[in-house]
Amino acid sequence: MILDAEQQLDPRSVALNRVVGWYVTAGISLALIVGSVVLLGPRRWYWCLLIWVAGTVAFGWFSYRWAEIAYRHTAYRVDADGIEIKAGVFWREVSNVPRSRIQHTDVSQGPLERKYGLGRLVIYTAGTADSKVELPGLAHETALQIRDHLLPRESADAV
Amino acid sequence: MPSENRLHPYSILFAFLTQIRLFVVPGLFVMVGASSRGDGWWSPWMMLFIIPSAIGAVLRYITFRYRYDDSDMVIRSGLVFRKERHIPYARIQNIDAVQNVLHRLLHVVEVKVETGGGETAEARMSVLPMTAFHEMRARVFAPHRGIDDEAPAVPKPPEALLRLGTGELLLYGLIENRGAVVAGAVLGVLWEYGLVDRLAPSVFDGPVRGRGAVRNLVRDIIADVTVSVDRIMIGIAVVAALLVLVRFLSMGWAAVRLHGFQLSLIDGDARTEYGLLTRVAATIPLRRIQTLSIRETPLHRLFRRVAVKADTAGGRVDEAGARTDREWLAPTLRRAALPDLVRSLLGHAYDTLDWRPVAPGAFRREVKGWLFVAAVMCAGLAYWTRWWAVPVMPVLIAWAVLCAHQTIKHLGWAITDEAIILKRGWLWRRVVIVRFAKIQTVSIGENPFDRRTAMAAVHVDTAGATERSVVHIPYLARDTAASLHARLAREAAHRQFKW
Repeated sequence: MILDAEQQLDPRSVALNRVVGWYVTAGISLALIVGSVVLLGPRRWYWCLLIWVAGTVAFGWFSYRWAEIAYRHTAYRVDADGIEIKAGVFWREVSNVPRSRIQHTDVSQGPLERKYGLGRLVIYTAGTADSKVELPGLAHETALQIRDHLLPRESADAV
Repeated sequence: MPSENRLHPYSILFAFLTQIRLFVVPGLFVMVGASSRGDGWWSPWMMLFIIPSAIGAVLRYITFRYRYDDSDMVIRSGLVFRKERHIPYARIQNIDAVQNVLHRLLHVVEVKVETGGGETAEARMSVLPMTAFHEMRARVFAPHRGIDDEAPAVPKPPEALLRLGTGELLLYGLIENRGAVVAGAVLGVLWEYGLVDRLAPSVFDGPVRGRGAVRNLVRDIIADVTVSVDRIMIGIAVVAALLVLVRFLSMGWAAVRLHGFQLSLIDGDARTEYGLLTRVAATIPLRRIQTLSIRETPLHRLFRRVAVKADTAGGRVDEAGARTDREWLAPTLRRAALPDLVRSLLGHAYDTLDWRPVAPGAFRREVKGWLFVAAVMCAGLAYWTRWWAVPVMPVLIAWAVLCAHQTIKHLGWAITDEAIILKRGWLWRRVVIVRFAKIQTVSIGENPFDRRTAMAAVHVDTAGATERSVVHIPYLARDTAASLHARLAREAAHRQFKW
């Protein structure tokens, strides 16, 4: 793990987010066809067909592109002080979590993430709005390395 | 093993009284009301619920033990499901004691122990003998002495920082207007049990005349009926009298609730004590103060007062809302005395701050939001009343521009060697002080509007932050925001966070 330089997420996370996007698209597609038939009635099948095709194509294309756009706008930097996470496309945000403020950390893997060898780093602080800071889309080994780096060195937490 | 302590035997009595308040009193009210309505036949049976809970109270008393180990307080409870809870002394944020009239007659006290986690108190001991409470306070706060280098140096003997006499408390009641709470609660209870309808005739001797006068007046004005000046005057007088009455209630409430208010520093702990009927003693170690917020309403300014409140990381919600009162370090304070209080509590200057404004383009952005609201209101007015919108529109627009201008004028931030400070609000002003050591995370955010004007917002997250004490500085020039963000992140990282 390279310290002090801004790092991108693992490129495999784009592929993962596209797969998630396909699932969401399939769900929306089903909702569109059922909804339009119920609301418009099977007689106006041409409208239903149009809504279904247009909605599915538009959302499918959006989620395909969005995975890559979001990937380009996400980065993180780990240094001796802590971790800095940059995220957001329209609402951009850079958050800094000092190492001494980390209460505990999780590295979790869902079934899809396991297939792609990815992991999600979750950092807990004692804060309120940012009590849980998540960084998904890391290579699993990288997530473990960052977690080990962020663990407190000595038991300096005496209050 | 150190010896174990138990609750005071009166605990059973108090547990029983709580149950009575929960079940029997509503039951009686419903019975009184039921005779006229005939729908409350089941209510006396509700009282039977008290039997299992009374048995529970006795069992809880028998099984509840606590002891002081070297580094933890250990609480054991439960008969079937045994629970042993260890609370390290180092994690205890504050210890509160509440005594109502009955507690005081019997020389016992209800104690709450809070740590940083969770929404409610970690341990609630109802009730302990007074001596046990003093022992607990001494034992829990004793081990930190000397090892804590962050707390400002304070002299050893108790130092009274603030004492509020009855005059100040009446002023507090006038400013804060808590009477609405009292009046609302009383009316709510009376209404709920149908007593309003029964009391009104007996109080006013026969059917009340003039009832609904204000309502009818408003209705007539809207309906464009010609109304006599007398009726308008009476309507205004009734409303004014009600407002004055509520203020008086509030003053009385404050004088009783906060009677003998005293804030003192004892060996690095801030201690507040108050109450005429219910006596409250709360202790907050100074280093546990996460944020300090200073509030100033228009009435505060009229009397040259401010209110100072501390946010700690402990539980935020209380069923009775008692926490909100406890955290007022100074419910009311002469503005001239504010710098001294801040220095005593946080150990840094307040009167020599170098306030910095937000970016120059902030007004242009702020005013758009206000004008949008004004436009929506005008549109609504034009739809409902047609011609009234014509004279109202310029007033609304002027008001919107004034609000935006004043909001930006009073928005500012300052940074010292130890803390970041935000001030905001025009009529209702607020200052929030966050020490670097209490910062949890720092973030910088840009929304699409920010990007068009090269601005950014800096957000500081703390433990136990509430909506009031959030530090969010909008409309900063992008490079100012970036350097502030970098500095705060660096300062926070280089200071050890101590609960």
